[in-house]
Amino acid sequence: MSKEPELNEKLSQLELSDDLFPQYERPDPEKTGSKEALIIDYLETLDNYTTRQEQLNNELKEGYIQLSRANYVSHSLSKPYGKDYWDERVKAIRKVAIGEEFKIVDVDDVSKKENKDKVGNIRNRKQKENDEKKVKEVKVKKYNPINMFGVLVPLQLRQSQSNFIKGLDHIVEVVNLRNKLDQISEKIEKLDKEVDRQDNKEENETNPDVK
Amino acid sequence: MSEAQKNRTLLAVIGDEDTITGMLLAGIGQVDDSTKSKNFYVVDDAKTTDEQIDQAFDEYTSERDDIAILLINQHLAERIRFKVDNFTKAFPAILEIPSKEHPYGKFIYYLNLFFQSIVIY
Repeated sequence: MSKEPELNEKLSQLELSDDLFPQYERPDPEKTGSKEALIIDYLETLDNYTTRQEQLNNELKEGYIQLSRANYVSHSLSKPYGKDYWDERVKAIRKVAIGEEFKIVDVDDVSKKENKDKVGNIRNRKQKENDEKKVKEVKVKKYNPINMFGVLVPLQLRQSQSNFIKGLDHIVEVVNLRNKLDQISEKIEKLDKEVDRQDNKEENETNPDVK
Repeated sequence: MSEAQKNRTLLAVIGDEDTITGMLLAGIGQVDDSTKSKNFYVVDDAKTTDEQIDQAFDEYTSERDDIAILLINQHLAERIRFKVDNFTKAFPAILEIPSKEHPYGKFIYYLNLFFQSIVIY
């Protein structure tokens, strides 16, 4: 029992074995050059980007496998789950919002908010009640795109759906990270140009003596 | 944010049947009521020609102004590589996604890494 504090102290000093640089501290941008800081930032983003891409790949792969399984399970159907089932009047329930970066938005949330706003504006009480009923109906009627493949769909198809929905999040994140990479590399190029200009100036200042 | 960007809310897909089925399951499919134009274009590997893929790509990148992200299967992007690589506009963002028979190759992954590292040095 007496050794326990010591043990805890030692444990707290231990680093994870996969940490190659236990002494590594994130450099202070004031001490290192701003270019180095940008490059570190770039490499970190690149790391995120490639892991995200791999996650996206895995998620979609799982989605395709589950889709194939769903087809296998319901092979008594004449047609596989594919283009024969696609809804020709489908409406998007997930859209993209562009702000600082891309973001996935569920359309249902937006329509609910709009309805609430309308209720606030109306003076007539009867109409208000009617509108409230309408809002409730909208909530009930939440459209699930899986229904275009039938009402009773195999579990595998539902799993496939959840895989693809997760994949969608990865897709947006990959796009965001790629944009970030482009921004950082632009900054680096700008810095390089400035450094070149300063070098040229210095050369011009020292060169007159030689001439 | 400019007005032009505000309209861009949709994801579009150019892909094979399984990819589009998956994306429809995820709920991004949209068919316009009046024009009947879809935001997904299905490619049959054997039947669809490169010109047709090219046209679909043009439709989603230049003609329509409501698309924020264009997803295209990597093996299809390979068929119109010149066009994809020469696309420089900020919107829509183009992302190549793996398909059932063509997952992201390790080779392409490292190639990606290599070219992006070159940018720095």
